[in-house]
Amino acid sequence: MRDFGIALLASLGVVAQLAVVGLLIAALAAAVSPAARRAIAPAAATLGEWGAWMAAGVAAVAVAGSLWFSNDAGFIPCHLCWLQREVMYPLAFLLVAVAIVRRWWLTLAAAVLPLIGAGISARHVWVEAHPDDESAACRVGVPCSVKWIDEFGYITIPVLAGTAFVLVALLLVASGLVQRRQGAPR
Amino acid sequence: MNLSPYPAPGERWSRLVARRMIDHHRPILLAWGAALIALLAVGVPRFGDQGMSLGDLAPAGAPEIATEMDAVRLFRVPLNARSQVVRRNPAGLRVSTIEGDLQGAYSYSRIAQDPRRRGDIALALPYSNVSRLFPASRETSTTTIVNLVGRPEAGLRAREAAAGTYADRMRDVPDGRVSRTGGIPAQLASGRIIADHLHTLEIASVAVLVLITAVWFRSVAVPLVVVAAIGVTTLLLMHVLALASRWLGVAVPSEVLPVVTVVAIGVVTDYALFTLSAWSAHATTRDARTAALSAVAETLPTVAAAAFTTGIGVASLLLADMGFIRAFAPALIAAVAVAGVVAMALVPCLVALCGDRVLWPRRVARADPMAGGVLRSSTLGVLRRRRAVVRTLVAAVLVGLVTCAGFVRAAPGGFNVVTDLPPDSEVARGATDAAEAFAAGILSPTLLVVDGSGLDDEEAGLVRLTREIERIPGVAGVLGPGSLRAGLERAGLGDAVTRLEDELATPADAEPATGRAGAGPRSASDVLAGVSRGVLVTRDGHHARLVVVLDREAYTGAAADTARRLRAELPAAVERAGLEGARVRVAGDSALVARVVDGLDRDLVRILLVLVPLQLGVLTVFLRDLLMSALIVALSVLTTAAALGAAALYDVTAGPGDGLVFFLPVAAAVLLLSIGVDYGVLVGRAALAARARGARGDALAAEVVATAGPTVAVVGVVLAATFATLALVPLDSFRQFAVVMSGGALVDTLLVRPLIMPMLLTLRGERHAG
Repeated sequence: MRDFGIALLASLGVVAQLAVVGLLIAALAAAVSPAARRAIAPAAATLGEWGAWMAAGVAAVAVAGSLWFSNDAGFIPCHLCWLQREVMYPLAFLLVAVAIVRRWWLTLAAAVLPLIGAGISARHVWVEAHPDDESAACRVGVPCSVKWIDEFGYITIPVLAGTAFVLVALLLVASGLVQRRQGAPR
Repeated sequence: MNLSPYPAPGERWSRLVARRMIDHHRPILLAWGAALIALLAVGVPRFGDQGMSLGDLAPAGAPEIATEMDAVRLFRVPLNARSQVVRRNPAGLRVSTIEGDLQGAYSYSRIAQDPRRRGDIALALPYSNVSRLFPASRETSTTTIVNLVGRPEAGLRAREAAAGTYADRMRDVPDGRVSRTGGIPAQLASGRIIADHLHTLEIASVAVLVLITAVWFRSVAVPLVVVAAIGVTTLLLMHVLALASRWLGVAVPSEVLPVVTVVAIGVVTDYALFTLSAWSAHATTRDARTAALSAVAETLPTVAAAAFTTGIGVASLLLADMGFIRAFAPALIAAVAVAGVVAMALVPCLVALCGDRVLWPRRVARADPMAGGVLRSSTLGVLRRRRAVVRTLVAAVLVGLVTCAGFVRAAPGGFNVVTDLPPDSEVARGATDAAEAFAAGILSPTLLVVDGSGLDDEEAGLVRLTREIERIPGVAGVLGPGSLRAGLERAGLGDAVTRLEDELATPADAEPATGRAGAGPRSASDVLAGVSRGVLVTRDGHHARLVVVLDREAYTGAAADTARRLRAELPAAVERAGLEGARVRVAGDSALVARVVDGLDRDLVRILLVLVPLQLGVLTVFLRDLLMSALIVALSVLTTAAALGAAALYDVTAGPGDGLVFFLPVAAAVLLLSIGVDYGVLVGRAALAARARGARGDALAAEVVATAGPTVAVVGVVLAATFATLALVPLDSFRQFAVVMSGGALVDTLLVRPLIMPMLLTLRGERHAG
């Protein structure tokens, strides 16, 4: 069961990374090519409509995943894990509010939160790769450099968290920009 | 058109005072001059360079101190000291060196007991990582640490000097590096570093102020007025502090002085710039004297309200339980009061004296009434055309601030007296050597005193307790009964001890387990147990002690966290160890740091519970607008929390991870909150004036940005630069303080006051309009 859960979450992480790449390619294509812009218009409209909900869904899955890691899989959260949780947990609730209110400027502004979280995840990934750079706070209790999971040769827990943060931020930015173009209420 | 940043006309009293001051500026300046000459003739007071000790900070009757004293009484030999000499050779010390160091300490202690040759050190207690026998050893036979236990009557400097002499004697044997380290040398080294950098700090902050004001006003005279105000404030403040120190019988700690000086310089500069900015704006449409009258009349209430709210802010420190925090209050109140008096009674006279030459060598551009108008119209344009973009920016900044504020508890508070020092200092080198050879907490371990009965027969239970404690995260090793056997096992001699036990063992009924004298041949276990008797277990068996070495430097916030965890988990550990009816008390510097920091946290809550409503009340009276006052205070609280949260986040992710220095949350909260309210007053007055002229919504926001924005921005940059100079003191605590205060001031003055606050005010305007 534990192995299955880890594999499932890691696979979801890969899917999320593909979504990030897809969003970035689509944004780049739309920026340089009117034809591409026309082609992705229906998808963009959907994103404008549902992007904030999608981001909330990603955050909810990330929250559920982190709770499963600590409560069922028995992985003790380290100091940096807790900091990422401090961002992700309120984010899941905040994004539901953002999706309900549906103001494009609020959707864009909400992207600041996952960007801060992504910064912490990036630092955590760095610490995993360079244990000597671990701050002293990370050496008390469970070291931050411990890799509880290592799937596909690169998927660790902070990589999953970072992926979720980046995907949420991209969804919010894309959704906010599309809402603005659609003339969503200010 | 009135382009003053203070469009509200001055109060009646302020117009009256302004007229008197401007009319009589020469006699007033002469009086100031005479007073200054008298003060200079008396001389500039100097203050001590002795830093604070943890003992100075601890609340009276702290159980940790009582337990430590009790342990000395019960066991006679103290196992921790606050002054050490460390010898380390990473390649390994010669056996003769280790023997010499151990023998030297033994001889020194014997001589120290001789009443005719009593020195400042009562006992030299050595330990070494020979064969990793000592708990928490990380290396083998590389290091000797000699704990130097001072006599209670000896002063800190005397103990430090004695440690220096001891270190010099150890250096006679050229093997490895010998360093003097520990809490006492660290405290004294901090004090000396601060005292050595005080003048540099003053010069640097003045240089920064001169540069910024000269560039901003494109004038030489403005910086001269500011420098004169700073000079008078500093001189006056030193005398006020000396007087207060004499009257109240309280010393000014060296850690307090730089902060107080910088606060005084920053505050007087801010208030002087309020007046100078106002004069500069008025002078474009009026003659110099009328401009001075208008500027002074308009800024006097603002400066008075700002000084009053800041004074209330720093006075709130008196509510603290911690004596150290209370000690900050009189000095800071004096700093704000002196700065306020100078800004209100000296700066206006200097402006009147300078007349048209205030902007020298630049001439006042009398036909330049559009300077503020351009900013107003462009702001209005941006607000109308790019309203949603501005809203996005405002919301993004607010989300960022709230997120950062969420991390305010991410880093624990610590005393950090050793880790504070530059890494190349002797004290820091010694601590690093000790941490490499053992664990970082070796220099000041946590002490556990177990109270019970029959503990001399409970070695197995005490060993189990030792194992339980060793399992707690953050604990590197425990010295207790049974540690010697564990050390021998670590050294690979476990089998030999077991064989020896088997060979020597006699039936239990024939050989009392206590192994008392006269009981015939003893087993190896008894021999090992006998080593701890008296030192770790009292001979009556009622008390035992365990020495817990933490894996972090003892004074840091991380070590304090471990001490808290230890305290919380001890009852369960005692139960699991099967020590029925035993009770454990905790002592040591990490536990004491935890107590001090927890006390400061409670103080901070108490201060904020009084300060925030008080500032809200004062602002409401001053601005006569509850909602605006609430907005000003709420944004100040948010900015302060965000600055502290960002610092905590940096410390635990990319910084050293030792935690924030203990005084930072309280000092930064009170100062940033008060200063933020100052700027809020300026913006609030501009908003009220704009509203009185009928401006609403975007027009109101544009008016506020155009009138108050530039002044707030320049005073914020000046204040941030002043606080940034604290980073010149090469102590981590001062760098943390500099970053938090500068960052907080910049965010407050460049984003929150000129952008967020006007935008939030426009929302209110819209609601009213709607």
